[in-house]
Amino acid sequence: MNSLLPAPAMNSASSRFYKLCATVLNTASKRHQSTYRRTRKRLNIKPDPAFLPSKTEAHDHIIYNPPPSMPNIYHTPTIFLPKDDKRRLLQQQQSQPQLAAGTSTGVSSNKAKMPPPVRQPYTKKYHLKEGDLEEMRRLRTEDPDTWSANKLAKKFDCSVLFVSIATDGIATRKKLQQELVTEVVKSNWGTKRRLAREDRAIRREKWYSDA
Amino acid sequence: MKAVRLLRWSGSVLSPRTRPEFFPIRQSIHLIQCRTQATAAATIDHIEEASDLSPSQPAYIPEDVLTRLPSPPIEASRTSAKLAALHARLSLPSRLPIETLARTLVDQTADHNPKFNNSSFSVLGNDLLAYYTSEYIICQYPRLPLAVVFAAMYAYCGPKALATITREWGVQPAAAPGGEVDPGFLQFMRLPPEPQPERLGPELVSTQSAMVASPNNPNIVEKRRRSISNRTVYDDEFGEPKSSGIEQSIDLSQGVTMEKASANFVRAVIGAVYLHAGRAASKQFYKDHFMSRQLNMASLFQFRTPTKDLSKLCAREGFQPPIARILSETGRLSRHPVFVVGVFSGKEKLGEGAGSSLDEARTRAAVAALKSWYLYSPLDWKLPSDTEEANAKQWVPQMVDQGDVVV
Repeated sequence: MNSLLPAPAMNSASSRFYKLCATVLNTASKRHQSTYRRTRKRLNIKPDPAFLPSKTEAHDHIIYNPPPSMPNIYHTPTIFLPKDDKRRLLQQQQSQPQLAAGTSTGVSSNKAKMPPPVRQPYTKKYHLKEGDLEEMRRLRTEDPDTWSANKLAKKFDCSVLFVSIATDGIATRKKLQQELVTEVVKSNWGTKRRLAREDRAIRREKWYSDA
Repeated sequence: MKAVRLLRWSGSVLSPRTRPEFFPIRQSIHLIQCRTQATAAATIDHIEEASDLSPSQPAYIPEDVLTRLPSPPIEASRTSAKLAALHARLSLPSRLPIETLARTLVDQTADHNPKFNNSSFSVLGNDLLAYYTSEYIICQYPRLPLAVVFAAMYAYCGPKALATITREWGVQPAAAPGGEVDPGFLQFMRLPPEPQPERLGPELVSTQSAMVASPNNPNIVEKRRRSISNRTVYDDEFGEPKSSGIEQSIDLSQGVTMEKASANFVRAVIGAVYLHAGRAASKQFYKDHFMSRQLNMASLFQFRTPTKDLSKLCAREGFQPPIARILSETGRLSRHPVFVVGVFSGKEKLGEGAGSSLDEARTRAAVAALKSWYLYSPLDWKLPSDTEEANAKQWVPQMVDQGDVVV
């Protein structure tokens, strides 16, 4: 079972291989070589021990060393399975010995460190009252140029999305003005920039369908 | 009550099919005989006449008679090598007479007489096809959103798929329909050779409002909100507006596209198998030719706000709110960084995505998590139609989901 688990990232087979290749193929400081023979000889590297015949196994056996790949979405995560699905019990049984093997005690396995979050998770405050919202709308109506959505969000300590919902339909003139400016800027783009921007938009659409 | 046992290629059980418009002008016994199928309708003279003919030598029909017929005579189907080969190639049940197979190849634009074209078969076949396909999709993936179910229905039994199946079965179209044509060809009146813009199929079924023709007058295009539940009630099995009867009558005089004729042929074959060989045989035929086709359901999804959808889903199901976490990254400050981000609910990983920016990886991870929610498939799913047979197992109710997330 332990041999199937991936090795720690620092000592993985591929990282060692790439380091070796880098040292072997670094010919920057060396003199000109007229043939490829020396390089070929240096590239004849002993394979990773994972691919060599095992010393513990007497007979032929299967070497399980798959390349890294994205998880299959047809393998439903345990939490998504209905309560009465048989796979739920199976996956729980499968995951428990691994946790025990990875850590010395069960207590520390519960406190296993999670990877760092992309954004710091926050809790919603719900601190704004009706009076605050009226103040927000008043500022936006009186001087939309000074009181942009961003500034209002900072002043009232809320998100820009909330400001846009609260002050929806107030500064229509500013919105139209901004659209006009964007149009003028876009009309000055050349073919290359326009194509690059369009390609980027197409690639972005793929985020929402591929997986 | 005595059970009626059908014979092999039992042409004798077919209802009499005659062409009334030919009786007054044609006194020739040949024609009456060649367009009359059952012994029940024929007079004694005709039977005697028929028994005189040896089976190896079919009745001779003069060319001028043949060319007057809109579709090949029924006798011709018994001698057509193409038809027999098609019957064998599709391993159709032996109870399906070869004459009926010939009739499924005649489109209603080739022969307007409903006794000689496949229109009645194709109506039945279409209903069977829609029923079998929808139960297959919904029982296999009970959580699938309805928009995806429509797209999957179109991919399994839409006109494009049926046209492909016709090609795969090796059925060729005749250049023009007529009595002298080999009955093994697919016969339909072609559209005049002018550019006909094909209507695009619902590859991505949108849930937004769309321009729809009003049911009363197809010329008036009105803007109406077409919600998904609206589609289930008013639209056809692919979530598209039903075509009106006026449009069909215009088609009949003009001709049809090859795609439409092929689709009608495949539907008619299923209808004919059902009528002649029964429910079990038609189910088997469907399994062999339709359930064996592969469709990647995951490619039919298109989300708008995946991260929002996922947090709504977690709130609805009582999971902890989803948090995106960086599993691994490389080259953050380089030109080609790669981030691998996983979405976690508590300690459970819901999905994983890779991308060249944190935003991309996070979005892809949310999409993967949503897809793995929607593409849940029970271990032992069973079709309702499988329990119709006498010796079937007890029906166990399938899982019914709450429905897709509405943001």
